[in-house]
Amino acid sequence: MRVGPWRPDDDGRVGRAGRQARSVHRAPKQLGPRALERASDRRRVVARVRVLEWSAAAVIMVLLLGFWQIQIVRGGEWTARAEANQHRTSRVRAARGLILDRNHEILATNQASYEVAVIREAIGDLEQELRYLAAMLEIPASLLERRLAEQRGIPRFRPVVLASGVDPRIVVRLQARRREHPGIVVQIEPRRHYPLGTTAAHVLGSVGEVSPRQLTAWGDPYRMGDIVGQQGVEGVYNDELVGLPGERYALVNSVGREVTILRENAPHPGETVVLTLDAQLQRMAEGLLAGRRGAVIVLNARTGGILTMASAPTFDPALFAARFSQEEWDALQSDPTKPLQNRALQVVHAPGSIFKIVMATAGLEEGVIDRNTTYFCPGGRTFYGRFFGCLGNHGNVNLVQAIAYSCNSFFYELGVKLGRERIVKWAERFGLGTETGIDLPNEQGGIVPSDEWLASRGGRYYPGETVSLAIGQGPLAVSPLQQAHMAATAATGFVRQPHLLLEVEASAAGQPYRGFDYEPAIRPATFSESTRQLLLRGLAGSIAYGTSRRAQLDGVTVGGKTGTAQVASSERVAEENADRPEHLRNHAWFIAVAPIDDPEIAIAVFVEHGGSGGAVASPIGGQLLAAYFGTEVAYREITTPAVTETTAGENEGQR
Amino acid sequence: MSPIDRRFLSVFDYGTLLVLACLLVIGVVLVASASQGQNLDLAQRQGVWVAAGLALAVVVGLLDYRNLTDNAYLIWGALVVLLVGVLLFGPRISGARSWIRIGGVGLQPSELAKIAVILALARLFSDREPRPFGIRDMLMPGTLVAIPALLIALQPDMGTAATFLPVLAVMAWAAGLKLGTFAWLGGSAIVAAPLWYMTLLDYQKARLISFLRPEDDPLGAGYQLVQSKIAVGSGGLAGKGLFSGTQSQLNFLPEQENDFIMALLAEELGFVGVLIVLTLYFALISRLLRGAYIARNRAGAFLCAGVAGLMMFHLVINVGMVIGLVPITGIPLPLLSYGGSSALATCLAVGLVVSVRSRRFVV
Repeated sequence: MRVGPWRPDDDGRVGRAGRQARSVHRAPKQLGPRALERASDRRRVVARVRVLEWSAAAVIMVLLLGFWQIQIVRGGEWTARAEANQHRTSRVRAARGLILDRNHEILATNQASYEVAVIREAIGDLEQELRYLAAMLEIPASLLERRLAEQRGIPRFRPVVLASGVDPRIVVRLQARRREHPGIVVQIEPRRHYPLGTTAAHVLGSVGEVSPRQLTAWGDPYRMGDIVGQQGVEGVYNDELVGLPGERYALVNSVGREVTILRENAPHPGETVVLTLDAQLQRMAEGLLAGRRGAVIVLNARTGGILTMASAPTFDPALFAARFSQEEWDALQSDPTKPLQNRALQVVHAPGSIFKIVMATAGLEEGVIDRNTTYFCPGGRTFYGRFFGCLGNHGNVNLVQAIAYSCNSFFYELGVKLGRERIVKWAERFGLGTETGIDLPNEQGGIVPSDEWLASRGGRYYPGETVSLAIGQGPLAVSPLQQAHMAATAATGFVRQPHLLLEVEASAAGQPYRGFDYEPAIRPATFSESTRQLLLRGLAGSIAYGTSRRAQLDGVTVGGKTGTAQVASSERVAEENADRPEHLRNHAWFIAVAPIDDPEIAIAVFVEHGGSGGAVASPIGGQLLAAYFGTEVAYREITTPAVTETTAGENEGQR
Repeated sequence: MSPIDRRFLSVFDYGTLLVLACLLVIGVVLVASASQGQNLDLAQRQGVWVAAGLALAVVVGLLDYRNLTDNAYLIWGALVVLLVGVLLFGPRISGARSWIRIGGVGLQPSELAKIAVILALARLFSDREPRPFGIRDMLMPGTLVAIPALLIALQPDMGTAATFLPVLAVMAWAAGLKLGTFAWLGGSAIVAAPLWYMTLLDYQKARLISFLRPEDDPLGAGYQLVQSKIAVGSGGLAGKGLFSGTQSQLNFLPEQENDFIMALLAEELGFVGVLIVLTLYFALISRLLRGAYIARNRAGAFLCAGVAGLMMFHLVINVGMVIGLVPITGIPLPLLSYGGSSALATCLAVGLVVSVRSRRFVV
């Protein structure tokens, strides 16, 4: 740039005098001696400003290089981070599969449940809002505060659930005032619902949040907070019921709200599990057990399918589906009647006289007795220096009569002749001492005095124990399920795996995502057909004229067997059973098969500390059988109870 | 006032005003994009400010800057009084007293103070003997800068107070401060930096540290910078398209209409957009500086250098902060960022240079 001197009249202090002379285009009038100095000064200023200009250019180049580096050189990296910022993949829970009974009656389904939650970000005065909520929900505010504190980790823009299973009427009231309380939201959550209430609670089990241990064991696709089956059928068939979660790919803004849903992979709903249960019969059985402790099993003798499995007392499985409070859980856990226990298979007791089925089979198959063998019953006998009693003086009895009258003397003799090993061998062939393998968790296998069991006990065994064993006492423990299973085996000549699963169906909304092939095991029993016929005659006799008469039906011939398992030791049996404290009273057992010519069902009834099998358990069995066959109980209560109550011959115990 | 005749109109500096207008219009468009993401309506208000700013630049350009340099000390004094008034009577808005209402119009005296200081320094440097000078001669200019800077620092508004120092440096350099003294002062500033760091408040320290290592705490202090770099980087060469930046429209980028409007530009218009805007800025700064070449007198030349220095400083600090080259300070980008006070003050300053350039020396 061409550089001239500063305007002479402008140089230095500008006086007012110079004003009027100022004009834009006036050329300098003169270049005096100072003009050179002014010109050099001007050149100096221009030179310095030129440095500034170059500096500005350099700095802007540096900035541009900075942008080049970020936008062009590392652009891909930052683009990926922008996408990670704005895209969020969230899981869409799959609807849990249904559980149906054999007639497709719904046992477990999902129901919309209202949850009330707060979004802290949208709330000004949290304390005030909690007070409002407490008043609306009729819950103490302190409880709400505690629940909020427990879930502190949830981001402030996410809802924190403070109450679930909220009454729809409260929801309506909350919704009416939602404008004034923008931070309070109502969400609809699918919740496990059991339309029949407590019916089959022990079979169905429960659902709950996946535990940390399950999470590590199962891995994908489970996530914290998922609802999975924890007990019963819900737990055993969780893989079928749980379905496959879907994914939602959404554009979110900086506070995490979904702006647009970009893509959604729909979840696969869980499959439908159809059980062999008959809900109607199940309800009936539970009604009969109401107020007692015990269990009832009804087994389809031809398939091994469980028609009924009742355990009393029971619990409400819906409690688990809701948010369970610690107090409620503790109360259930510490209840002395143990309502969570499935007494059908998780509790074992001495089988009592039901075991005579095993004894009879063993005697016949081992050739110790035949159909005509008779023993004399004088009302008890002495073995190894101890007297073992029988309830009646049955005189000469054969096997069929011995079963029908439940004659102890006959079986004492037989037991001593057979010996422990052979008794145990047949007990094991009937499945005692091991789990039946039913599709439910925590089954108890029970005890038989096998060699291994003896070894574990230190090898001590008294010959007198065999005498007790012969009538189902002593070192013997079986579950009600095993009793029913044994009855079915005896009645049909086949060992069939007891099971609850009938089939797995694809849910209405989708294809099954994995196949399921269920074939319950079946094999012929190891005893002969003539043995089976004799056993059935004995069981029929017990119903017709023996200890099980209270289970007689109109029009259907039933075979049955009662049992009374002693709880108290011999010294204390002196008292009448009914006079004892409850925890020392005998357990009542009853099994039955029907119809006798071609057994279709097998049942087992167990009443804990109920008293005698004939008086307590067999009437329950009778009513169940009557309900199943659509007929009536034929037995009429006779007004001379003293005889009928005690001639039942149930006090097999050592006198 | 000098008469506006045809000959004046033929030398009037339309070029600088055109570049100014370009940047201002781009600013309105970017503010519109930023306000869409936040569901705000800032663009219309910004449009009004911009129109007023342009008009102000034209009017000031038509006026003779010498009226202002003549009365520079008076103006400086008035602004100091105003700054004291703000400190005493100004309302406290988000922790700082920086606003004052005069006749129903909100005003930030600190913005005007920058111009008053430039005027006063131009006057002071032009009054002295035109010879290189040393540290001793920096006492008066230093005082002229220190008083308003301290008053602004008390508001507290450290960012604005800090802009006075580079303005002083640029003007002293243009006026002939010896190279040795310049280097010596620069060296002492580097030595003093750690001492100054210790006087910072915690949040200021956090900002500084997050600039050095933003990934240490991407959700806390470093969040702003990380989000800004994501916005800039993901813009790539051509950008995601106006009104389509994900970082800005989904609101991941805080302060996007204000201090971080450059990141929005980089995201939506890419490197190409950045190149265009920075070229425009360079054109503007270059024209401001070249005003010194053609200025009629020393005061005009120093005035141009001062305004250019102010603009340059704002540009470097703001744009540098967006890409993580300098720490995050609350300094807006002149002409592009949303805000009336900043736009008007910048237009006023540019208008002064237009006035200088329009009265250029003609041989």
